[in-house]
Amino acid sequence: MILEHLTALPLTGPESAMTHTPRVQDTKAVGALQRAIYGLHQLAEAGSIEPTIRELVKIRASQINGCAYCLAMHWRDALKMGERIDRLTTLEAWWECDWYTPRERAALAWTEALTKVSEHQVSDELFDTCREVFSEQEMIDLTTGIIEINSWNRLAIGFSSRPDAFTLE
Amino acid sequence: MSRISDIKLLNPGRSALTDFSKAISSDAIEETTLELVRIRSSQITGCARCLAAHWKVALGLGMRVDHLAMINVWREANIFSPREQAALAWTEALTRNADNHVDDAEYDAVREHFTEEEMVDLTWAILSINTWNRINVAFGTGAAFPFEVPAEKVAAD
Repeated sequence: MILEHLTALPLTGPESAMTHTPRVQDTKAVGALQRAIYGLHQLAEAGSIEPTIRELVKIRASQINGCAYCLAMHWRDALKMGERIDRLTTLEAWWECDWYTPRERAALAWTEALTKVSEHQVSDELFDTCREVFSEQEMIDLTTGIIEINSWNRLAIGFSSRPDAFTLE
Repeated sequence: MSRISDIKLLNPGRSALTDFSKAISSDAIEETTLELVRIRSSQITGCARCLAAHWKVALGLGMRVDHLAMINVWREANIFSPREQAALAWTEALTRNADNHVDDAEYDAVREHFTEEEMVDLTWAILSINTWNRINVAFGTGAAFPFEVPAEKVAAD
């Protein structure tokens, strides 16, 4: 099966990548921050947004933010939970694709809006459109997941975590 | 999804563009590098049709899913060769040239990894996919979906 081949994403880079020096030496301080973001993760996980949608959101945010660490991790997680490769290949143009469900499309639109908040205002119209397919509580759960992945992206990018820096288990 | 009801209206343009795409080809640039270029351009322009089509071609060439998944973040991914990275940098520069000026330094950095003849071929390939992207985005021509990915094409080394 495809999935078995993909359990070992090659996250080891060339020699130069292996010698990449972390920007932050005080790992304890980073650990405290990671635990705080993990709190958001637990909150999002306890909500009612489908795991498949949560993974699409994480991949899309990581694409927009340019986070290699999170992108590799969530491609792998999505495939492990049975997501189709062909659905993942078109995520950069999801709005053109009728093979994403109305809930997936709304989640991706909300993800883009909140991730690109410095470029565009988040409109009432978009919120209302998303509310047609998500309850108020689900909007909060979805938003929690978006805030979570945006935080992980910024943590990894800010402190220059590279995909070669984490293990697979 | 298509915005245009008479798809045949696109044929003369498509035919001319096919000729344009074939006008320069020395076969000096690896097909795998060109597929990275085509996928990156399609990501930036948001063209689902070209994304699906070129993922399929790339997988057919034996390129790995886990490498292709990292094209968005090629600068950070540590898996693309210097030549591939140069091709991707040139793709981004030309695809986004409405937002960024393309300067000599950028050209020279790419030129370190490509001959002058290859620079022409590479640039032609970028212009070609840019144009296909824009035709499909404009008319919402839609993608061939779903497509199956045979396991052996995805197999990790």
